[in-house]
Amino acid sequence: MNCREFERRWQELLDERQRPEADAELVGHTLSCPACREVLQTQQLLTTTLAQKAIEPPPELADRVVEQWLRERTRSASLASRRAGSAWAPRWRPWMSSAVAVLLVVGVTLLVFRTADSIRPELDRPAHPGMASAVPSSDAPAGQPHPPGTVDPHTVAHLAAYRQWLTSVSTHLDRMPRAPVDELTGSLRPVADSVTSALSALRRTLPIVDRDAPNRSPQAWLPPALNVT
Amino acid sequence: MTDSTAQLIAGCLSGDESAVRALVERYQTAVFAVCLRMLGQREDAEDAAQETLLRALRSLASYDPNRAFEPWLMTIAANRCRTAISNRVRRRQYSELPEAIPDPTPNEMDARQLEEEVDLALERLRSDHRSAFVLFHERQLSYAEIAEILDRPVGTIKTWVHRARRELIAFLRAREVVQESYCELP
Repeated sequence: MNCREFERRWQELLDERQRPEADAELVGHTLSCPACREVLQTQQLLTTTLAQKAIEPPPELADRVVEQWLRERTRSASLASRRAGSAWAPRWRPWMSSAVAVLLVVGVTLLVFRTADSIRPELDRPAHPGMASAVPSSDAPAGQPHPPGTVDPHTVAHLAAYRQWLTSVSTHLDRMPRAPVDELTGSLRPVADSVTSALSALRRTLPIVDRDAPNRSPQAWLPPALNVT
Repeated sequence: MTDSTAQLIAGCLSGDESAVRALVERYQTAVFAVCLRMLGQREDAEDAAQETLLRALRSLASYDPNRAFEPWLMTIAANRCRTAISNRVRRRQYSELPEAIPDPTPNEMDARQLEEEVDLALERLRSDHRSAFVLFHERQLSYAEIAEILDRPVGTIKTWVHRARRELIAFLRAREVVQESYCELP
């Protein structure tokens, strides 16, 4: 056996987790080769040292790991519960908000018009003490000719009553407090904002928006002389 | 994987703190030893071992119970150590640390000094050679397991271990640590 063969065999035995110093052939070579003998002795020393050397972890390592694990578990548990509580929210919140807003607007509109309907009989009464009823009374002479250049009193009465009705609807909307909106929508700010916007839009669509400027469109067609409030 | 390890893993997955502690205590020495061997510095090894064990606990849900547990754990440890080594290399670019080499005292070397010499020899190895050597000789893992851990072919791992042996022996011989009194060949 030469030195090259010695090394190959030596590595093989170590790979197989065997003891090279117990191999007769290797030991035989070391008797005539001081260099290989020293290699074998050094390797024996290294193996023994590695086997005897006890590497102890720091005593607090396990505590540190467990504490950190507990902290992470607590944090992830709270995060998970928070996510579970609002899992549906990101996907459904916009739809839910819109649906609630639409329902509320419809409800409020119905409420407003029902209230307006309750004053509708005003149309059947004189809009003003000094005026004729908005609806021509049955004893009024229907189709009675009126002087040229004047408006038919029946038409005047109808217009006045209609105007009064519109005014009452608008007033009702104006006086409607914000509180019920907030109460109904609770903390859902998008819903509250939607309802408020919808009510404003409804208010704007009514013919009488600004009672201080009654002759503005769409009432501008009403002659000033007939403007009865 | 032993049955008790499997039970401990099941306990950990169900959130049992005592199972977590038992699993950590069972493997902390092996993890720390590998980290220390690969990093060479105790402080770095402590950090790497802690991070390894925590990562293992976090990843237990994705652990395949058909695989051996220790090589899986050592894979995490090796990855952590590689990261630590690359961070250390970056740090050293800014501050070159003088390497402390103890004075050689080959003729009156006690066991403690011998350990220091072996540690020093291991530190001198290339980090991947050292990792392969430590996993083979200290952790008694097979070449196939080491290849999986270090993500290299088995042939490469074998070459690394052989080179590590040769270099260690050469270093220790140069340091004259071997005396006839230490080990007698038959």
